[in-house]
Amino acid sequence: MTDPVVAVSLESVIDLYRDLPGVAAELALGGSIILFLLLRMTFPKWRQSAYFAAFMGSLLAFGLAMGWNLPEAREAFGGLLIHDAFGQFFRVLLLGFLVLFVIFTMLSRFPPFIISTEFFLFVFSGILGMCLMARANHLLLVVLTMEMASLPSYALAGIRRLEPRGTEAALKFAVFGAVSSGLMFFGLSLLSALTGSLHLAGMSAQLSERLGQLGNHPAELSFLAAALVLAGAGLAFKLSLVPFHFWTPDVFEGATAEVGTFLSVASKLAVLALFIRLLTAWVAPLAVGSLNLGMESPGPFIQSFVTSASEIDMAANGVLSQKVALILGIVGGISCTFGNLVAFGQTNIKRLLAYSTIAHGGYITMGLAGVTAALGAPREICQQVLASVLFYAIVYLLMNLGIFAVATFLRNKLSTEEIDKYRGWGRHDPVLLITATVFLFSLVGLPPFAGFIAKFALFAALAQARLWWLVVLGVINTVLSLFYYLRIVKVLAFEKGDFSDKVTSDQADPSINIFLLSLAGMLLLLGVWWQQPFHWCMQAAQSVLVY
Amino acid sequence: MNSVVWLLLIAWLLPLASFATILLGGHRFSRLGWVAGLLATGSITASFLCSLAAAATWLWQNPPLMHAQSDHHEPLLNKPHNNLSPHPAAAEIPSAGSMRVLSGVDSFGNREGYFALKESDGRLNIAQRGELPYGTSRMAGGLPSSTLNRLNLQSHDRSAKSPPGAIVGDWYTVAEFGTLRMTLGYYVDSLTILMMLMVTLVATCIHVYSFGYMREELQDVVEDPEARVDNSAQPLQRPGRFARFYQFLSLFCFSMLGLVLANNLFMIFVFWELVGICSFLLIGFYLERPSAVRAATKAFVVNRVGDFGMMVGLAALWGAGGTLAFAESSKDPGLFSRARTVYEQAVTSSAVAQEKPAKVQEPSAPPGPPGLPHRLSYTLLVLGGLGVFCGCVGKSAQFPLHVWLPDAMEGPTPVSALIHAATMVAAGVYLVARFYPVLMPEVLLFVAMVGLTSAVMAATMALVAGEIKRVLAFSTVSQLGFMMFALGIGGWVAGIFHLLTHAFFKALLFLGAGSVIHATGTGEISRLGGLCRKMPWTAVTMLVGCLAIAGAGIPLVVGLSGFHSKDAIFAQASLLALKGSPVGRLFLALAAVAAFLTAFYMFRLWYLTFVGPSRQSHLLAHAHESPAIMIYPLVILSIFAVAVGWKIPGVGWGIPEILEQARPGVGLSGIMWRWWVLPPEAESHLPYVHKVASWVAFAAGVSGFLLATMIYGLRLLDAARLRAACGWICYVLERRYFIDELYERVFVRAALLLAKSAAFADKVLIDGCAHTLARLTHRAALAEEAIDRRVVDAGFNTLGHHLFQLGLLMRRVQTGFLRQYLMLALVGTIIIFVLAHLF
Repeated sequence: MTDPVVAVSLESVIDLYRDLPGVAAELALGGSIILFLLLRMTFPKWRQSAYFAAFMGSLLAFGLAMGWNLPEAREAFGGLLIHDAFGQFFRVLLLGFLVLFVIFTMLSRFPPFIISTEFFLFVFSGILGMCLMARANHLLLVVLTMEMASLPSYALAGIRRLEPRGTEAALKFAVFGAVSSGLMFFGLSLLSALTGSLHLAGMSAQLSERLGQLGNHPAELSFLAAALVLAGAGLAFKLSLVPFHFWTPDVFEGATAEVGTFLSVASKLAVLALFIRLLTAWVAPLAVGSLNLGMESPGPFIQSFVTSASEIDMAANGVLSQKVALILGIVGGISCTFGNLVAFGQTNIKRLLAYSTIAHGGYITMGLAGVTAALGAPREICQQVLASVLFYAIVYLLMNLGIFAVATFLRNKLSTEEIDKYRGWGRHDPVLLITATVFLFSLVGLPPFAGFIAKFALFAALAQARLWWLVVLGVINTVLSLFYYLRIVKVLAFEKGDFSDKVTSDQADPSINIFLLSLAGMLLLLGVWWQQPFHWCMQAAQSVLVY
Repeated sequence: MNSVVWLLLIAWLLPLASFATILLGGHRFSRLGWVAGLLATGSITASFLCSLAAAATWLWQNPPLMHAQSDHHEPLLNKPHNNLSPHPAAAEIPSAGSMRVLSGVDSFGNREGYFALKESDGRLNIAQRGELPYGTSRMAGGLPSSTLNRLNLQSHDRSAKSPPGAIVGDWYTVAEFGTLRMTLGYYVDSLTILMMLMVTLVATCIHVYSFGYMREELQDVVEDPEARVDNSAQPLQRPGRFARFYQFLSLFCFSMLGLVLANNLFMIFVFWELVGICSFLLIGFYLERPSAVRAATKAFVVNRVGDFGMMVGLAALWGAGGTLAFAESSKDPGLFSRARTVYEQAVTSSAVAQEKPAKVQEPSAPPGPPGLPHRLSYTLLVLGGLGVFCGCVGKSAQFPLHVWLPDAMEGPTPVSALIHAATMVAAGVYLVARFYPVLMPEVLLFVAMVGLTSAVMAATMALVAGEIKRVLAFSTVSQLGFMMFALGIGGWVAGIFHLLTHAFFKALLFLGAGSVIHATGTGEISRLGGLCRKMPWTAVTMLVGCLAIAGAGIPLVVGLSGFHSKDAIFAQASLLALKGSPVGRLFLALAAVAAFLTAFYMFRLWYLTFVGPSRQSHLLAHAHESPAIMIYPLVILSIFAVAVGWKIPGVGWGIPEILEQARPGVGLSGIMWRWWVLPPEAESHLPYVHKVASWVAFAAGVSGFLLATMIYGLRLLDAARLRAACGWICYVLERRYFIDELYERVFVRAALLLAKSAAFADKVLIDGCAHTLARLTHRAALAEEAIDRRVVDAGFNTLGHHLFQLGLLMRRVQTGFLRQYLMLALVGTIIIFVLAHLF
């Protein structure tokens, strides 16, 4: 198998032009980045320039991404990228988040003038990397985008240079990130050595071809296991799964809540996309023989690229993908339980949300375990399981953005991040109280909000993948999470506090209320009208399940 | 949709729009009642104009056959099924079914032969004309004529132009349950058109008239002398309700028009009930008067009794036929054609059963619409017909459910006019007419008997009634009985014709009565008298109404509207009698008695009110002619009461000829009772029948008129002595044959007793049980609370505490040391790697 990147010819130049509309949004992001660099020189006095440029740039990118007429799934730029519905789904999600995030920063007035261009520079380059990450089709691009997404994050964590906690958080984040990246690249190199390719489709084909022999060579099997575990380590770091979660509380506490929002939503979404892509590329070939699941025969999509299906030791391979599902389930379950339990004792709202993020990473990983277990099942089942995970991602975006926004506005108004200081504030700001309740209920998964539908779909998907123990674990965790989420509601609404000095000085900003209400409204809407979004998720899931 | 249908739709929806506007306008109209009145009157007038345009369009598209041509040559019941005939406008009706019936019909009877036959034995034996329907003609050779006698189902005269069919379609599907479709649709034929025209015209007159009659309601505060505050002597004061009155009138008109347009029993039933609730609201319009509330409730409850039967009928028809639609369409089988098929089947099978030895070809199963159950048996058809008729008895106030109508005068007089003429009671007769193809001869006999009983009985009760409106109410029951009787003996056109003419003169009479009450403040005949000079317009128009209802005219030439329609009914009855049936003779005699009584009590009413000495002079002194806005409707209605029965000059046809287009095909003889044979209505136009009928009717009417004139007009006989001479008869009549008392004793008291015992049982048994249960639940709750606190809560608290401690413990991992973090991460990776190998 030749490496597609090497082959450069006239055709590939023509292909380049054909592929360009697919990256128009990314080009817009790049243009915005250059603009940020020049902005301070061009308009030294205009204090809102960065906000304006960021808003216009994000809108432009979002519009370009939405307006792109998605062609049939195909590789682009010589196989580096893949243009498919799955990538488009995450791209739109990320750019939509970017728009919301820019509005959110405008409302929270966080990056002060002096660092505003840098802030948006980092945010935009991070998003640029993430958008590419969602469509990476080549290990080169995987590595590149991982770093493109990570490096701005490190800088963002420490953007308040004079704040010691921020600097410390940035340092921890960077070192931890570097180690995780190292582990991941080690794993990637092992895998490419095993398969002799950097191209995901090529690796997949190689893996399935060599599977028959793998059973005969235990050493090669552990080689593969080590490669997968190490590659997974990098992803687990970004998803802040146990035991790679340690950076999360410290970074979230040290960085500002806006940066926390960015890390908690955007980088999670992008890594989820990459995770699913790698799962379908590397683990799907191992799932061909998953007949011991009690499901029907494997779908034709697996048969289509397995050239020597008859030679493969079906039972052994089935065990392989089930093993991956089991490990993913264990890691997800532990992260979820750990996050929920440790969140109990938190007094700082950002630390609490950090653990909540860990727990939600756990839920998502449980869903990925379900996807892995269902890889050998008929395509419809696998597609449905994967679509549930994607739907969870949409809802996660909205509710996490919402609750971080609540935390940010509380900080702006009360200048504190200690939950105990929020006692009774709900009386003075009913809109914030109501919307916070909606976000928290949604995070718990109570009807009629979207969180309920998302969680229900996720658990239903796990049940479909026959991972009953994960369903039980997930339900228990939902109950556990109830305690600390509702504690915030209780503190805000039912306890009494004295805010005589704060109430008079700070007038409520109606645009903040509108922002919060519209987020809450979207959650409520998704909670009752979820068929169409779920249909999009199904389309995205269908396009990625080709390996 | 055809333009006729569009126009009718607009005509139907306009009153609804007016109702909705007044409803939404709400309290804003309480001060601006006259705006609401104008709105309602305008909408019903526009509705009338739309109906008029629809009628004109219809008649332009389908001019009726000339009477001269069709008089005798018109085939007997030549329309096997009206909606099955091909009609250019009815494109949506599949014509395949119609071909089945119309083709292959054999006809070789000619006019001379036909009459020779008739004259030779004085009876008609239609079957011997050889006109046999398709399906039976093939087996005619094997069957003797006695069998053929009953096979005269349909006949077809090729020389006659085929009459137009109905325009049928659906506007909106409310629900679908399997094959049952509940739709809002239209069934438009000449009957629908004429009914729409009549209802909107009469309603328009009543709307206009009410402006004058209900003027008091425009005031902010109205004093109701008949209602008392807490039984004190002080009359009740309440705000005027002009807007509400017109709101209900609009809804009433909308409901009635919807009923007329309906193309299925579901829609009929919905609007049937709407009409019922409107009458309840309007009869109880003076809701502070106990008598009005009682009358409204009585009307409603009595109607429920009838509706119960109707629901049984609907259930029978639905269960058996799987449809509620009248006409066949691509989606529905259609009750009419199903009933037709079942009837034919029953006739054939009974014929075959009788002639068993004869070798006959097994008649092929009637091809019902494919894919639908064909379980409609003859018995079920009879049951369904009786059930539906039961509803009609309630709505049209026929014996034995007539008791509500005389009490219904508690409503404002224009409402009585509307109920008695155009809307409520007409609905029952209309439904019988509309449903005619489904009503089997046995049911029709029942209809005739009920109708005739009501006609005679109500007429006798009217003789002694002491209040204008009550006399008119009994007269309505009697006239509706006439209509039912006509329909029951096969006089379809005669019955409907009488319904239409009756609407005009009854509305006229009621509005005239209202004018009298408006002027004098009372409707007691005994207190009135000599109003002729004070109220000339009212007196003259009322006289026209009396003449019309009595059927005044010159026999065989011309007369008022009532003359023509009553003539048609008598013609049918005479035909029945002349055909030798003893039942027929009895019917004719009773009908003549009823007609005699009608003339008598109507003129008694008129004489006592308008001529002679005034019995209470202060009433006469204060009496005055009503305002012009009340007189104009009277004049318009009296013009129609005179002329509506006439043929339209120049074209040579009138209402009967238009109605002729819609005549449904009916079976002529009963299956269960073979002796009951309905004469075909066309033969009633034969001169020798007509002659008898005219003279009988005339004699009855004139003798009634003369008797009334002798007693009350010229006072040759003393009314009081006459009354004393037959005291017990008068007593029985005044107590209305004790029927109300009977109902009171048997049903109302029984119901009250039942209610009381139920209340007792409820208080003692059910409440006792409920209280005990509540006490037990309370105790259980207390016990449960203790358990909850001591066991469950404690458990959860302990669990929560431990979980919290666990969380705090795990928190310690987060030390903040980067070295430790990295170490733990690497150790974790190795553990996972080992795990991957272990499993």
